[in-house]
Amino acid sequence: MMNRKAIYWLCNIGGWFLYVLLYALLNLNKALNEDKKIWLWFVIFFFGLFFSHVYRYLIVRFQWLQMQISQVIPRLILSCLSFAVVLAFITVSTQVALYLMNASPGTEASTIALSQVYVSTILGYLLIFVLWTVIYFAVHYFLNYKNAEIENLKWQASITEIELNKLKSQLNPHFVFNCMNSIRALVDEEPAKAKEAVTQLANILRNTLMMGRSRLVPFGEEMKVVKDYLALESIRLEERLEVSMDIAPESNTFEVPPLMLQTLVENGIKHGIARLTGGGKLDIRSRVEADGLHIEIRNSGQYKGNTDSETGFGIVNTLQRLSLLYDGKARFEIANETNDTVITQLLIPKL
Amino acid sequence: MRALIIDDERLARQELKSLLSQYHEVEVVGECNNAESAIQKIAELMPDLIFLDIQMPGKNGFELLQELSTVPEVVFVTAYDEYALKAFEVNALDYLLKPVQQARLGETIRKIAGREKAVQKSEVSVQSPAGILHETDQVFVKDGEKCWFVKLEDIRLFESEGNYVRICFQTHRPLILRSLNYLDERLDNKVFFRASRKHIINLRWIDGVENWFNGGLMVKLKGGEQVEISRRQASRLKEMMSL
Repeated sequence: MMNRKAIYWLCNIGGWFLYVLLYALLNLNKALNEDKKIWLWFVIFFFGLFFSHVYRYLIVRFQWLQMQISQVIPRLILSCLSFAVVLAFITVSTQVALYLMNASPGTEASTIALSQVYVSTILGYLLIFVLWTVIYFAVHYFLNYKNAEIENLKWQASITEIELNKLKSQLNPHFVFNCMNSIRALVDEEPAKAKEAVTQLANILRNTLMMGRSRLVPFGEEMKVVKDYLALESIRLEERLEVSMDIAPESNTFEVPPLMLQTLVENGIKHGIARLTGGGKLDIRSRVEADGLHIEIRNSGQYKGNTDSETGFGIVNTLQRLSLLYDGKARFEIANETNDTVITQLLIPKL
Repeated sequence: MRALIIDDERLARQELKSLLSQYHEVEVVGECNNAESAIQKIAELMPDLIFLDIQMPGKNGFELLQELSTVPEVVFVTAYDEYALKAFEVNALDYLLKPVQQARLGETIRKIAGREKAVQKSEVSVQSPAGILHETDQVFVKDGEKCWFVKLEDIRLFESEGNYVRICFQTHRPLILRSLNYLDERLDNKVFFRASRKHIINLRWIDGVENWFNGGLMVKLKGGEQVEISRRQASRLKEMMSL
């Protein structure tokens, strides 16, 4: 494909050349000699090209193509008008100058009705510049149309992918089935605890399925899900899981993306504590500061970067969601705090 | 059948034990909550059958099996592990999904009990000395993404390759992390013959023997492999074959 700049120059030069050719063929100016006319044509061609290029510079520089129609129309009208006036002034002056040079001593400049010439020239150039604008914008919209369509499809696809990832990362079948298995054993051993576990599992499943419905939930609600989840993991892992929490009361009303904390806690258990034969500790802390809600999760284990596709998956998913919701104002980081403790830090800004 | 349950969750073991209590042919002789202790217990108790969870802290179920020189009957018990189970050849394994269905467990036990009986009938009543791998023993082989349980009698040839040994059975030739000397010591020498520094062959798979240079022999196996036997070993082989 020809590049856009080449298309522009070809059209602009070609356009002004055609205009001057037409002007010459119609021979509108009978007052001038043939050899003087060539100068006039040259002046029209050169200044026409020059001003239309300045016009294009303005359009590109101030991004008029991206503006809304109501904003851009007055700007275009004003520019067309000013360029037409200036160009008319230059060409008429040139005509007058050439005429005076050409004139025999008897003729006077005043015999030409200058004002009339001005008005008709301005109107002529105004028409040219409006035509120029229409062509310029039409070509741009035509060329951008395909790109815009591709961009739009890409965007749609990424949104769908994020939605899908959310679901996939939430409904962890390994957890669900292991849980049901443990509950089966509990039915004989501790029926009351088994009943409670069924309710907790139901809560988690309900939250997962409803997740797409709300963009944000109060942190207190999110913590309920996390607590249910941790209670179920405790049934499975028993003494291998030790949980501690320090939640500032004012964080409970802070709005957070649903199941994000749950995903991170689950990651900490799945990839950290559950992999340790002797088990480990999980600690959740939250506090509200001027820049937003700070959440810290510490878990036993070691973070080895994105080598594991599954961990990487949860992290990528969290990053995608945060950038979609907070546009770079949120912070999220996983690192090894000590040799055997992984720290996950999350900053949720106020929306 | 004497069974060992290996699962990191106490409740999961509990659940399986209670399900198994209905089958008089299965006796649960022990439980383990991780791979390390399971390796010890297997050596100690020599169970006929193990119920094995795949995802465990420390070593996982596959890593455990790879460390065993001989593998009892294995039933995988897993919550959801499509990916891991896909590694196996069709019909090559028994697995149960959690929560375990009583009917499905019954089926699995019947199948294994049937296999065990067949093995016991064919076995000569002479007790082989401890630690010797018998023909009917199986090994677990994992080569990259693929897994097999291979009966020693199906292996035609062991071929040394650095720290590894390549085993040939059916159309597969995977590597296992064992030294040829280790295998030579453990394998039943009535069936498995040390043909050379680099090879152990299964005598039951010999298709033909030809005389070779310097008084050596060239043995052709039924799978098509050819193994050269040095003069010293050749005389031993002739001795064994004539007996």
